[in-house]
Amino acid sequence: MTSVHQVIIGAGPGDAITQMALDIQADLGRRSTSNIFARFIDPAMATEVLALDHLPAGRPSDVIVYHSSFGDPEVTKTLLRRPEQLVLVYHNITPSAFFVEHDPSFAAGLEWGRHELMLLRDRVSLTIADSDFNANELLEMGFPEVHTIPAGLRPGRMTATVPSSSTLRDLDHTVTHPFVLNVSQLLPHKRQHVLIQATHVLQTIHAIDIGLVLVGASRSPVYTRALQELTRRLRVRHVWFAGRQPDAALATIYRRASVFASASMHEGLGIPPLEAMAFDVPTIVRDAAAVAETVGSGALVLPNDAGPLLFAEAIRRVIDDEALRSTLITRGASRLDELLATTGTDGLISLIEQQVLSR
Amino acid sequence: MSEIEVEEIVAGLKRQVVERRLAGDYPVGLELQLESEFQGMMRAIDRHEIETTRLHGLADHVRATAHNVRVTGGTDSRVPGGAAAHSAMGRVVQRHVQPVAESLRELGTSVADALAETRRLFEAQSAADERQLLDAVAGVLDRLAVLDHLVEITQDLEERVARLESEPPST
Repeated sequence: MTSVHQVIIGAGPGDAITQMALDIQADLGRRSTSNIFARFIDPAMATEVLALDHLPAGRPSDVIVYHSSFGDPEVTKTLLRRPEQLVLVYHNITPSAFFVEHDPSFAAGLEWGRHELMLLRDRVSLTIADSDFNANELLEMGFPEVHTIPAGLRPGRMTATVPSSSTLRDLDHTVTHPFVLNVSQLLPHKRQHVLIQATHVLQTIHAIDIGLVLVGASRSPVYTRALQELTRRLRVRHVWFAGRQPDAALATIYRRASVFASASMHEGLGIPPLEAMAFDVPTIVRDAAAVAETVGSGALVLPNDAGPLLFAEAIRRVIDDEALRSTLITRGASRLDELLATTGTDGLISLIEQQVLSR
Repeated sequence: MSEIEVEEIVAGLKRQVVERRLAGDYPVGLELQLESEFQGMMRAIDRHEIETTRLHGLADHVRATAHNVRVTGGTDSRVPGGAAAHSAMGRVVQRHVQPVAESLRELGTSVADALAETRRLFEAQSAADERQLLDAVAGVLDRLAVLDHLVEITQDLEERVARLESEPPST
């Protein structure tokens, strides 16, 4: 039986790429031998993902699907040595400029990721990107043909989750209603500090008693501490740094959120705004990288240079203006319908079968 | 809501920001000030993180190195009978080297503990300094707020005096 294994850099619960790989594996596993291998594995994923060192010997007729999002020389070496055909799924590599000053080693990993793409370019049998924005980046790097398939995208996966009573208690104790929600790792380019500043403006100048919930793992100790310090110095009330949350808790927070806001300066796709739409939460985003393409007309898209004042105005408007709220909710649902018609892993697997396995 | 309507909403929001700025609700340069203060905060925390993180890493390294001190070496040899000779020599030498290794482990643990304590003291001192500084800044801000309030009261009084002076004297 042909093997079609997937390789990812890091595997963790709640990580979008890990989730996509698991969804793809669920379909691939019905047709071929398929496992997921990662260089770094969170202990919580140890039963679902195997260490890259354990990738079994392959044949030229087998396939490795590599999800590119960061660079690690060990992974590059492994991929270049393997005899299998290589399928590249590009999820975007964040520009290193966002990290050079405060996290140079992470910035170096991102730079290596882009270098790795050039090293792999001639080895790749099939190239897939999960957004047109990402596809264009690869075309600019000289990849001859790139297919856009947001495979494994399931923004509504948590909507049937039973609410968590402990999370409801946490929300009652820490934030007020209405509250703004942001879901993403705490990283400088995600710009959560703009949301804290906007909340400060709303609480002090607009005199609105509004809360802010930031869900997401702390990936940069410096940025996380700076966010906490900013909250303290600006005396912003009702802010909850919720950290990484399991699905049941996250679903509960989405259900209670008044508005979802993201000030991120770079996203190769941007799944949390789509998850918010799945929970009928009106969504505000910044026009950056692939974000506008992803949300379509389902969200209020602010210009790329939007600062805390414009975010504050937008948040206030969405909270106060019932007609705008319901329009955004309806548009969000339509956008999800459009996306779900084009996503799913079937398209990706068909391409692998037609263009790689049939060779 | 068409694409044009979204643009209209965003344009309306931008106008709102300008109007609030003109009305004095948003102080001039507020966004720049917020951003530059945050970047300053990042730089200050970054400097602090690097120093203590490095100490933490060094302590961990010393602890791990001390823990891994071994008195037995490898006995592999390509010379016939070499492995047996190495093994026998190892057993003889081990008796003398064992106490040295134990001392080394203890020394390593003490050094690691000292580094950890240094880091703890550094962080405690840094937090205390920061608290003191913030208290001082908060005191200054409170006084500035009082001054602002006094200015408002003075302006109000001046306006009232001006009004009274401009009114014709009552008969």
